[in-house]
Amino acid sequence: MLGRTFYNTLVKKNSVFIATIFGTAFAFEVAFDTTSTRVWDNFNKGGRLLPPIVHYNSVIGHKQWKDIKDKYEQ
Amino acid sequence: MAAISRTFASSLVNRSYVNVPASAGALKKVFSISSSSQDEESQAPAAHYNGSSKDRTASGLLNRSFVNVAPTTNYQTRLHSTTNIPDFSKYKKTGDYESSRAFTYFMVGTTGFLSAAGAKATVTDFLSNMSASADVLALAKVEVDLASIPEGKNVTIKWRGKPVFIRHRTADEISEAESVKVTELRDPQSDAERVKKPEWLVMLGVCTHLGCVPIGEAGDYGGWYCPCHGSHYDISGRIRKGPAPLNLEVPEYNFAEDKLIVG
Repeated sequence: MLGRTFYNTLVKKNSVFIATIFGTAFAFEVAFDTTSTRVWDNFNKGGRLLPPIVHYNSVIGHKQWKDIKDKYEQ
Repeated sequence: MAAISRTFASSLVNRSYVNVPASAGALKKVFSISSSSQDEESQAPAAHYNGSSKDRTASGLLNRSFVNVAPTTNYQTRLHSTTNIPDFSKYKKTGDYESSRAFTYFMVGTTGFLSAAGAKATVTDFLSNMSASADVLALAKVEVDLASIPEGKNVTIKWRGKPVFIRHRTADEISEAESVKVTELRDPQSDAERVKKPEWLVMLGVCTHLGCVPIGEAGDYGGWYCPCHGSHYDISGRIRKGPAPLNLEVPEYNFAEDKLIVG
């Protein structure tokens, strides 16, 4: 039943199928970017942090500028 | 002559007579070998499909042809006697046709949108890598506070390594620049084409002849004068006299409140 509804509404006409694919790709991209940014921001949240991990010449785990911006900008 | 030909003919006949028993023996040998090889085939038939070189025996070419024939017959008998069609029933779909079709198209669609999103991200990464970064863009623009430039004065600023002349023109200079007959100019351009606001003239301070920096408020036309080869520019920066072929170039600029942004 569900399968037939899916097939008849989205797949049967190829233009609709393609449009659905691109629309889903757009929505997926927005959702993926939002989620990954949120995870990253959460991992690097401002305030007290883990000591920065020095990995070769890059530092992992520093605070982000947007978390400490209000301390330095008027 | 006749005797010689007769001898020759008889020798031919004799030869053929001599050959017959030999070939009969060979045939016998062939039959015995091929029959024995058929026995072998039933045990190891693959050896006969592989190639003929190993099947060659002392009995020669005749034998080879017989050996090559044998697998064909053998193969056909095998096909009729031993082939069983396997049971595929446990691989066949038992469920609903429609839901299985929907699942297939769902997977196709999922693959499609994931690869579309991935391709778009890849292209975006490459393009943003090639475009100018924020610090480069910030250096590419210059802001000038226009309130600090009094009327009738020139200011020279550096923009992308080149001088830019900014002149706050007086009303007399504006009317003088607009009164010039455009058709008589070497590089015909009206004053309105060269300025956005008539009181502010903004242009690159690079002589169009050989790239010297002209001197302001000098020359025969009250504008700029290039000391290198004597080009005279008027109060709109247009070439009037001397070797330069073109008017002074006008860069991209905009006004924001009381500021001028070049770039």
